[in-house]
Amino acid sequence: MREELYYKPSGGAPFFGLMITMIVGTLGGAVLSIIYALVSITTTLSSTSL
Amino acid sequence: MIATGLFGAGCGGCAVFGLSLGKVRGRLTNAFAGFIIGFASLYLAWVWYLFLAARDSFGQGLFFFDTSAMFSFMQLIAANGMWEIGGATPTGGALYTIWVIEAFIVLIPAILIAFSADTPFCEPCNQWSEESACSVTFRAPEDLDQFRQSLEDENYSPLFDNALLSPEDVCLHAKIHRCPKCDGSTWLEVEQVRTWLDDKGEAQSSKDTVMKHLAISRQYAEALLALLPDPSGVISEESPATQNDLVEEGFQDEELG
Repeated sequence: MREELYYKPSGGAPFFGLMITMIVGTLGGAVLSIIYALVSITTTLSSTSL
Repeated sequence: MIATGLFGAGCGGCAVFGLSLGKVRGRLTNAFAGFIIGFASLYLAWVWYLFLAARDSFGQGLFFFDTSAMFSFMQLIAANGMWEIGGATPTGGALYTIWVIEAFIVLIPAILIAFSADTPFCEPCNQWSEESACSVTFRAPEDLDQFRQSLEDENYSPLFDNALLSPEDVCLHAKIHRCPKCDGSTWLEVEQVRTWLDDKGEAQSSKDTVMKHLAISRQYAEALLALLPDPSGVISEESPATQNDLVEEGFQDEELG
């Protein structure tokens, strides 16, 4: 296999792009975290002993 | 467990979406972003979980954004247990172990999915490539190494001469990634797809990557995409069906992107 013929990511990571990545990714993750917490609490809290 | 894995995969998907918007294209940077986003999402999931648990237990929801308060409440849960598994209520070290495993189940998919994001990027145009799948499938070669070698040598006849009118149980699928702005950056991806019927008679399939993101000239890429299965039983004559046809039409190889 001739590696030079295949695409390789340049490794480019612009600072502004990284900021967008973190903001967008964390916002999406925040929404998912609410759903996950609701699923977790409804499936595990039935036998709470607190 | 499944919900936890899906949550981790979702965090990875959010990371990939963010990486795409931010035009970040480095495997290690991607993995780092997946870790940070997965970790932040896990932290927020704990904030929400403790809020809901406190509301259920004490009648009042409290947000534990402060990590020391969060850990105190987690210690309270660990000391008393909160839920049953197999008739037992895990507490103490067992519960901490479960939480650590849960954290890994979230973080590992998030990191791996972000790391595996490898859509080709056209550096001159500062633009992600767009993916197009070939309409036809191709007969799988007996010798995949030779097949790869041929394509690397810019001999595309193993594809052009083996286009199928209908998919076979084992066949090749080809995709083209091309820059929407320029003609220079074009890559070929080939997968071998196996299809079979399981014991219930339901169709199952598996995919193996034969080659990923081989730089090819735009003319050959367009010719591959132009191949159309024809109901009359022949490959469409509107497109050059073989590499020789392209050569006869006077296409010259461009500098590969």
